[in-house]
Amino acid sequence: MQDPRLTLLSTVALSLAAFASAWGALLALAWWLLATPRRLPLHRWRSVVGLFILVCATAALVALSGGNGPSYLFRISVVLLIASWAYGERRGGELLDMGTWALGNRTGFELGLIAEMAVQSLEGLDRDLAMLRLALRFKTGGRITLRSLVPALGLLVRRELDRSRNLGDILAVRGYRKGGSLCPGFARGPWDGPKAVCAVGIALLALLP
Amino acid sequence: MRVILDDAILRRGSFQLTASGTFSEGVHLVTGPVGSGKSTLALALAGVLRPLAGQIGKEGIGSRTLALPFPEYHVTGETPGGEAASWGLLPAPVLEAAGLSGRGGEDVLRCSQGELKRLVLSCMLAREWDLLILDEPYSSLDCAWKEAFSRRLGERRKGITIIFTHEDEVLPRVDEIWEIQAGRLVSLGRVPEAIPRWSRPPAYIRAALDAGALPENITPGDVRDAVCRTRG
Repeated sequence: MQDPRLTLLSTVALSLAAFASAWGALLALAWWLLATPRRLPLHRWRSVVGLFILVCATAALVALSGGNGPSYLFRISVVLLIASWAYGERRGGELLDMGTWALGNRTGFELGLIAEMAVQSLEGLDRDLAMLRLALRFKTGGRITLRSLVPALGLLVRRELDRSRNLGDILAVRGYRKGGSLCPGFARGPWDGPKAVCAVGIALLALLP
Repeated sequence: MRVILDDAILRRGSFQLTASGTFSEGVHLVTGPVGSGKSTLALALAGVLRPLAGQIGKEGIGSRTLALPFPEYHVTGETPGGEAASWGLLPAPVLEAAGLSGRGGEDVLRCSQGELKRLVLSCMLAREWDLLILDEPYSSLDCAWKEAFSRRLGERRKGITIIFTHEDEVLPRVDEIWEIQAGRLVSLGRVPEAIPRWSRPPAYIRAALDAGALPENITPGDVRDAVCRTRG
């Protein structure tokens, strides 16, 4: 999907559908199978396994407290699958474009800019954590203790704060006060519209009584 | 003790680098502009990145480490003294070498990035490694500290030391120079014969070569001496 507005709409609709019922989750899964390249973030298998264990544990708690544990496990897994697809679809600058398109050059621009900076920071932290793991692999042979992680993580947080301060300074030096001027542009694939309509349809089927 | 690159093809994203050659005992300098693939090659030589094709073989290499450009990644001690101890070292000499004497008990979060860089490099250089890979060791250092670490790097005699840098003000004494040219690692040979073959030498070496001087090595001192000899 090329149009980020339709990607966001589809993500929200399918997430609601998957969370609402097992049938909704099944339809959302079918949508994912038919409408996306079906790529799983397997290069991040540790994170995927960790997240899945967390969801399994929560599902077990739901089952123990009298709820439908397997249904919860299935529904949340599909929500995460859709979220993973949406994250993989994102491109730099689209949040700024969407914010400005939706809410204009002042509030929308500012919200979009904040969102872009937040995503950049998350990506920076992700890279930092990968490098931290690598450095510790050489230094400690992979033996990582909480005590050894605290200074490293503290320094990474400080680095991130410095980065944010520098970014703020750059914006101030360039004369940024509030809002901005932007003509958002969106590419659209030939199947973007039908896919989004299907996603909204699935949400309506799952949510309407 | 050798690291052998046999037509190794390295890829990170859309970027690709081809590397062949043998790193033997001594100090090696690998240069190339920003974005030429130095860090990719450093990761591959450290064994972190597997080549897409070809091989990277290591003979007689036991201990090895990689210094990343940002020192924060390496720090696990809560204080500079604790950091030295975390490398299995006595704190006092390391702190002195890093210019942090008397600050061994300070919170490590109070240290600047330059101070952390000095601390981590001092810890690494205080130990013997069969293979020591340094990715941009001069970043975050001022000129005086660049010179201090250059002297110490140039004094390394045991093991293989590979320095990846685009530094153009201060360089250490090295045994061999390598250059990344258009996606390929090229061995320029041993110093001093390698110096005139360098396609993008630092300005101070370029000026000396243009003046007809051939330095014995690549430190600013060697280059100054060569220029003085030429002028008679």
